[in-house]
Amino acid sequence: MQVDTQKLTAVVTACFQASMDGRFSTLQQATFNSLGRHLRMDLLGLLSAQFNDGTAAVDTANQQLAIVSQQVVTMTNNLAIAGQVVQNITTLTGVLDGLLSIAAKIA
Amino acid sequence: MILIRRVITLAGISLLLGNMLGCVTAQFGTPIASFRDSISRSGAVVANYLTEMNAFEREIYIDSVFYDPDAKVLAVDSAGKSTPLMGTIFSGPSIKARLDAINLIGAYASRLAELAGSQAPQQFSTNVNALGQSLTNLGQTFQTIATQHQNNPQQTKDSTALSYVGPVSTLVGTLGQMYLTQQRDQAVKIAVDQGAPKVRQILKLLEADMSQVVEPLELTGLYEELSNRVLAYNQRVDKTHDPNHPTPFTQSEREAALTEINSSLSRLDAAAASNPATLVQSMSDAHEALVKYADSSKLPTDFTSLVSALQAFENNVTSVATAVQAIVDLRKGTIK
Repeated sequence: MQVDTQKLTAVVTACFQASMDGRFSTLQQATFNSLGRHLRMDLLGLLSAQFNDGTAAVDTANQQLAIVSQQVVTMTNNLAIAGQVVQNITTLTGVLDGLLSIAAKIA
Repeated sequence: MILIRRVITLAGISLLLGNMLGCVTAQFGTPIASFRDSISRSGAVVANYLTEMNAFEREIYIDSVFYDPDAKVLAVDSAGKSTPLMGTIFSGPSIKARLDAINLIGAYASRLAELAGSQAPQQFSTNVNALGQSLTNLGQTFQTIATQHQNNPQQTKDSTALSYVGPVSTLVGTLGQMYLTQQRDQAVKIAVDQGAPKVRQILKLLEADMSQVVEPLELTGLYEELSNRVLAYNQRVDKTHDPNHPTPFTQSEREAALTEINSSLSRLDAAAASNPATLVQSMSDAHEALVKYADSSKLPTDFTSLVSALQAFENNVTSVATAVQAIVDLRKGTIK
C-alpha cells in the first residue's frame, strides 16, 4: 500500500509554480514556497515507503491528496480559494508527516 | 566415370546452394551492433542518473538553506527525520544492484553482438565436421586429380580437372559461409529468445525506478531551486514585503541573481527534454523489435522495422545524453 506520489508530485510542483505567480502577494508566494518545500521533503521519504494493507492513514492521505490536487488546478483560475487551498495543504503536510512516522516504525 | 561423379557432386552442391539461397538470410550483425552500442550509451546515462541522485538532493538542500536566511544546516531535522545533507535516496548497495542490472543487459547485448558479428574462418574450422569433411576437401580432390597425370604418366589425364579447382573451392567456401551464417543466426535467435524475459524484467524495474523515483525528485527539486531563487529576488525588490530587510540590489548583484534564475530555468528545460523513463522505454522498444525480428521470417519489411526501431532508440539516447550533459554543465557553471 502506497501514497499516491504522482498526485503528491503534482501538488509540490503546483506550490512552487504558485510561489512564482505574480497574482499572489509576496507573502502568499513565500507561503507556497514553504509548503512546497515541506511537501517535497515528505515526497522524498514517501517514495520508497511501503505500508501494510489497510493502513487507515494512507487512505486518509490519499483522500486529502485527491482533494488538494484538484484544488490547486482550480486555483489558477480562481484565486479566491487560495486561502482554503493553503489551509488544506497545511492539513495534508500534517497527515503526511504522520505517515512518515509510521513508515519509520515499520522500517 | 570421373566426369559422371563430378557432375553428380556439383549437382548436389548446386542443389544445396539453391536450398540455402532459398532461405532468407538474417542480417543480425549490423542491427545487433547498433543495439549493443545504444544499450551501452543509455546504460551509462541511466547509471549517471542513479549515482547522481544523492548528490542532487544534497545540492537542492544546500541551495534551499542558502536562500532561507533563517534555515539551519541539519543532518536530522527537529522531527527526527534525516535531511538530504547526509541521508541517501539510494543506498550504496541499492545503486550497485541497479548498475549491475544495467551492466548485465550491456553484457547480454555485447555477447549477442559478438555472436552475430563473429567471422566465419575460425568457426569454419571448428565446425568443419558439421559441414562434411568430403565437401571441404573437394577442392583438394580436384587438385589431386589434375596433378595425378604429372606424377604418374600411366594415369589418364583429366585435362579439365584443374579448371574446377578455383570455382569449386570458392563454392565450397561460400557454402561454408552460408551454412555457418545460418547456424550463427539460429544461435542468435535462441540467445535473443532465451534472454528476452529477463531483459524485460530488468527494464521494467529500471523504468519504474526512473518514472516513480528519479523523475519526481528531479522535477520537483529543480522547481524548488527555481522557486527559491525567484522568491529571493522578488522579496529583495518588493519594498512592501519587509521594510527592514530589503537591501537594494547593486547592478552586479541583480545581474548575478538573474543569471542564477536563468540557469535554473535552463536546467528545468534540459530536464524536461531528458525523460529518463522514456529512455528506458525506448531500450525496451528496441529490445522487443530485436526479439520480433529474431522470430520473424526475416523479410525485408521485418528488417526495415528493426532498423527503424533501433534508429529511434539511438536518436533518443543521443537526445537524453545531450540533455543530461547540459544539466551537469549548468550545475557546474560551465555553461550559462
